[in-house]
Amino acid sequence: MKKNLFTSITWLVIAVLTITLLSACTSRNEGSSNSSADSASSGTDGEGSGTKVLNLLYTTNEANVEAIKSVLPDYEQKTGIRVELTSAPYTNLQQKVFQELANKSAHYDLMVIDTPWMADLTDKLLPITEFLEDPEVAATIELEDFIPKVFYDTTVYNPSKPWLHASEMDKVDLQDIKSQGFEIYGLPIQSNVLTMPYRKDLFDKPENRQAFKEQYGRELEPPVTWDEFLEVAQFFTRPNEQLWGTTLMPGVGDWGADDLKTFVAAWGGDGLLINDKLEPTYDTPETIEALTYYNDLINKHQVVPPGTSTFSWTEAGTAFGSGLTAMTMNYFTQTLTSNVEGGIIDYAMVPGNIIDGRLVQGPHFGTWNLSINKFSGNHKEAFDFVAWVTSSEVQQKMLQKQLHPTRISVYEVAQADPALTERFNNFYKTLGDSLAIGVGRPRTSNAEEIWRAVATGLNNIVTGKGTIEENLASSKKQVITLLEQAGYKPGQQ
Amino acid sequence: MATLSTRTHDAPIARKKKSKMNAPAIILLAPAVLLLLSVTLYPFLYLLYTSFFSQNLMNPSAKAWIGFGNYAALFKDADVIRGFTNTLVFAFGAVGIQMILGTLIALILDKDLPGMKAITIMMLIPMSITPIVGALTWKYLLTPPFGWVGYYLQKLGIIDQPIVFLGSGFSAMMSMIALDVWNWTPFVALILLAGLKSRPHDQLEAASIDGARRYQVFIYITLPFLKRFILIAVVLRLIEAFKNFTGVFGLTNGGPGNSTLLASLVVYRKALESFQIGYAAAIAFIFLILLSIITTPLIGRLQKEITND
Repeated sequence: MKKNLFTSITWLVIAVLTITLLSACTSRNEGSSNSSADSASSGTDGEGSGTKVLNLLYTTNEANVEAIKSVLPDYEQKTGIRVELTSAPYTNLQQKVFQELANKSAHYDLMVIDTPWMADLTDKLLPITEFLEDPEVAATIELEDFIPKVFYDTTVYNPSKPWLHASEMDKVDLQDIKSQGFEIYGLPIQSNVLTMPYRKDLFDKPENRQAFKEQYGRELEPPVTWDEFLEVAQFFTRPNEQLWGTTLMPGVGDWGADDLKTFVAAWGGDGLLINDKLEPTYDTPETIEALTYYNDLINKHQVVPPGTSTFSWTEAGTAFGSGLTAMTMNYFTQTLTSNVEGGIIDYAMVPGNIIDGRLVQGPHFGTWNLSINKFSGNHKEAFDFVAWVTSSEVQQKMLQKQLHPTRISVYEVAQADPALTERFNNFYKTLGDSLAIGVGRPRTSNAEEIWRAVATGLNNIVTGKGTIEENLASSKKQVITLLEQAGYKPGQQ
Repeated sequence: MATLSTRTHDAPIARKKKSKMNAPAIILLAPAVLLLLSVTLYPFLYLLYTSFFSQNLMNPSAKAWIGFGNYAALFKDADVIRGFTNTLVFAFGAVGIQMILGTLIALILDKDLPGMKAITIMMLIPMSITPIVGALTWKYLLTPPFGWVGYYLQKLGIIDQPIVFLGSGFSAMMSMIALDVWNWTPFVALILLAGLKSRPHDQLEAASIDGARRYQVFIYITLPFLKRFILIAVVLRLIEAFKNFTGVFGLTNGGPGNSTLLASLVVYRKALESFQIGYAAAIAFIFLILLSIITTPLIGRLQKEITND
């Protein structure tokens, strides 16, 4: 009897569980329907007020998110369209962008894209060339106001051969871009380029000026050539005073490759490191000379703080900010900690070399592109926002939040603005001048791994693991393998 | 004969009864078993399945069956080989030190001395710190010229020149092991302390009455008793040390060069930076096999210890 009762209860429990599960499934299906309905009406807010919403995926400090945030209320006021901004730090952003686009998600209408990612994304982002050809847009957008180097490097891609660079013009020329078989994949929103922040207070100090003149027979000024750079760095290297000449970034990571390409370009080599035929171009005498100089700064002349072989952007910034070096190289404005009494920062261009009577420089630059998700249902609205937020007027407003502008006219305004000059000295002039001669990146898939292979070779050199020639050969071999793994055939057109 | 006849007769009834009794139990257990299989067996099989394809997450349509192609490639990949070798050095080095230090700390904390409770609580602090925060803090502490470690070693006159701890392969690996030891020795000590607290006091008293020395008590009573706790700690720590990612990512990022590259970092780079999901799956699968080969005998030994008890 008891056993029968137990069996009955057990079956009853099973029946109840089954019914519960089935009803849960039914509810879930209903939930799914609602969700579909939601996505069909995406682009308006959930309160039924009819306010149009655009979703923007943006980075954090790398492209000055505060600048974008500061103008979003203006856009809502002007158009009634609210832009919902989601920001993520670099690595997370890359993974999120790739994941969203691989899943063909329509959630984000707009995404900020770093140039090395573009090789994988040209079939997932919307070319805006047609929008730009619209006579009404063409009359107002002022494409020729964009810095040509920034525009071509950031937004102009060949849809079927995304590794190719278009031939650059002195001014942005839409018809020329089209005739070369290229498309425009957004508009540049933030332009980062290596500049050389230095301690103006140390350079201006009378004792330093006199001592330098006695020692080198010339005035102490921010160095223009790498030879001058070495002298200035040696002059300021005083380990007993916890002061060194400069920072460098040969740690393992893309920053090492950024350093390397800047030096290679200044020695007359190919600053891209990989050409449009997808062949590594840095196993050359110019690179060997550049690397010899670079390695000597660290190991022979020791004008960098100890521990430099592990430095990335962060450590380099901390060392300069703590007053440990007289010079550094960075994308952004720098600040000094409160213990650096009387410290003043000014900015100069990263030095170069005189080759054939001409100063050759090639500071690394990396720019950010504001692009439209191909899978979004709000292409026109998204384009209108891109055009508005990258306009001269809006970029001028964002200067107050330290946007690195992409338009020539905004640099002119920045240099004429006494408040900005007081805050940042020559930063905007230096930034604008550096962008005009900057060198971008090769356009390959798995760029991160390729960059690390290059940086690992550099790190091996400065930590004494093998000669420059050995490391260049090994790094080149590794890069070719990585290119082949990505499906390229080095040497292809 | 009658007995035999009865048995022959009863057998089908018993089987029937058994199956009748088991049916509801099986049905009730099924959801839990299915859930368990879906979160263990399915990912394992999917990992294996994926490892036979050339697959890039950014171009899912180009997925192609390549059989053992990924496996053939990974055994020729210098980064993968280095990653596995370093992982073995790191895991055995870190866990070995943790076991020795953990045992010593547990023995000290087991003493009935004033302040031991407070010390035990303080000792747990490294465990409660988020691993990435710990790794980045260590990076700053070890990096000259602003790192405190080098600064105070110089101030105390122990060294003349700042040591670049993360600047050579050997010292960077030692730093990674030191970080893991700092982070996880308290965990080992805690497990062993629990073991020490549950020691049978009658044996200790008997040894004391018989005049056993301290080291004899430790070797003949404490250590055999702690064996199963030590095994638990070793198994748990080895598994975690093999999977270590945050430490290497935050402290050395595999550098200098590739000298502290761990297998987990290789998998991360292939899967989440290059999106070569098939290749990453093959590395992860080999990694899983390696971990199983190392931990299975330990788990078997642990089960034997428990059964013998």
